[in-house]
Amino acid sequence: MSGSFNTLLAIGIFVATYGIIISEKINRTTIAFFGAVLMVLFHIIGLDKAIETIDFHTIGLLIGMMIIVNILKRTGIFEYVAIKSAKLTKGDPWRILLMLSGITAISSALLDNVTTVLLIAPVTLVITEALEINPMPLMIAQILSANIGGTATLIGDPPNIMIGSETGLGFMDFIINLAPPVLVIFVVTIFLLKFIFKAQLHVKDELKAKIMDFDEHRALKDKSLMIKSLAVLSITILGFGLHQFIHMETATVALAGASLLLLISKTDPEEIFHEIEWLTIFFFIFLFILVGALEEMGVIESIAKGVINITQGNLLFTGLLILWISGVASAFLDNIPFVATMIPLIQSIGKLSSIDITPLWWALALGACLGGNGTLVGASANVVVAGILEKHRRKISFMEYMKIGFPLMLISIGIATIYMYIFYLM
Amino acid sequence: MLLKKQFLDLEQDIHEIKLRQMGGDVEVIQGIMHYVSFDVEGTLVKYVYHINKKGKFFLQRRAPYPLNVGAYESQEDVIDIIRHDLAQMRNAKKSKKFNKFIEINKNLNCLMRNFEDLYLYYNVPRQQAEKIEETIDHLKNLIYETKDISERVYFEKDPDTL
Repeated sequence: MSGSFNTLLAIGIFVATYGIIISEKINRTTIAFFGAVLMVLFHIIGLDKAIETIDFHTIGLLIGMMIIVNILKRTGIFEYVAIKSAKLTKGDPWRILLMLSGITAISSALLDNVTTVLLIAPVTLVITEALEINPMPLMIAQILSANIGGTATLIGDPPNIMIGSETGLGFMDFIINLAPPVLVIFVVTIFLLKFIFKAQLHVKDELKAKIMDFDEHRALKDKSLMIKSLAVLSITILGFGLHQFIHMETATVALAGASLLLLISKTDPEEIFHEIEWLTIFFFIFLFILVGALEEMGVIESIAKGVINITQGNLLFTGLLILWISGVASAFLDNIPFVATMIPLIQSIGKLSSIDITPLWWALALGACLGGNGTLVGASANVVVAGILEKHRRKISFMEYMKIGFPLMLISIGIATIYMYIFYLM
Repeated sequence: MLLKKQFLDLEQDIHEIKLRQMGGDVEVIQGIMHYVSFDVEGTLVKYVYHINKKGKFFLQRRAPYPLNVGAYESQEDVIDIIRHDLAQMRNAKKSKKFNKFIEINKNLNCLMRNFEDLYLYYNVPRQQAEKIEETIDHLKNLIYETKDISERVYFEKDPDTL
């Protein structure tokens, strides 16, 4: 088979696979697996090369953090914090929304977004049931907070994990460059949510009193395990903060923390490993192979040349283009495959032009993570929360969410544009 | 899409939070629920039991009438009990009085629920409670009496209560 035929075949398999992932007609891991195998079957990429394309730093970091979270969540600490916070508000629904959004944002900066919403959602549903209010405002606030909070750190959202792993940018680089705009975006979003949901957050005083009857201590299941888990999580986060100085990859830090916690917690490893989201892990693996095959065929380099032709190597134009395209695309598409494709593209732009591509990584991270807030299908956390609401007979329609999420997403990308322009692109 | 496992975990968390807030001590044991059904000559016999790595196995018959069969140490015991139960059902099915037997059992189950509602919802006078006890004793005696005058037809296993 000729090179050009193989290139066309690679593009065909890639586009078809991504098309089916977007359509959600078939499970995304199943179709990514099929697409990746086709790339190998048709000799577009050899098996050895395919294995080389898998970024084990990303995989290691994801698995390590999943193990730590799976042990930590058994302690009941998240329920404890959520109930304690709700009681501090004395049952005021707006303050509960504020508190739970804050907890969600901070948690999702340190854990993955889906895990965060799955940890906070049960308490939210129990609280809103007690207050006899619609859980939708609080759940929407949690979607937005999870995606915004996750943007702030290297470990907060899969796109950042991939960017950090591929570029060598460290945990502190992400915090220094992304946390300031994220903080502003979070404050503005919460402020706007107060106006959006004002009418829906009224509760009778006798119902507020019900919240005060909750006992946060009953949520704690295993204090000894909680102390061990929090100690290991703290050490792991400290390790992330220092990893560049001690010359250790973030994946090594996460896996070290996970193995230490598994050892000292004496939890059943069979149960903990069973809890790892293997579907997500394998989805990443197959995506790396799919994108690797395109790189192998020189497709990514050709697209990079095209981008440079359009932007004429102008950093401001390239940066804003990446920020807005990532933002709008991530509102409708899964940002994981999008970022997996964008990473080699930006690397090629760096090789083919004289642009300092570091600001482009921040543009990609801000666009891909914040863009997820735009629609109900923009990020995994949104899809999961929509599913939870539907199961609890509070179905939220695509348009219903978009009316709130899309303008807020545009505002957040607008704030990111101002930030990028002032600090990197001017 | 909310994955099946995510939904189950979430529901489990909600139940756990509510039960803990009620003061309960909740232990979640992962396992698999077995729903088993057999067609015994036109009568559906259904069982449900939970199988896990630790603890006992709780077996319940759901049809033709509900009955808590018991808690067992191993899966083999559960299978063995189901085997005997089925054999007994097949045997009973040969009787012309099978439908009557099912009807009486359903009535007994209904009677238990009626009695529970009675003492949970009403302040029952002592005299009435004693009357009910007397009637139950009478019913018990009737069962023993019937046993003594009836021919035993199943010998693979001894009765659990008679």
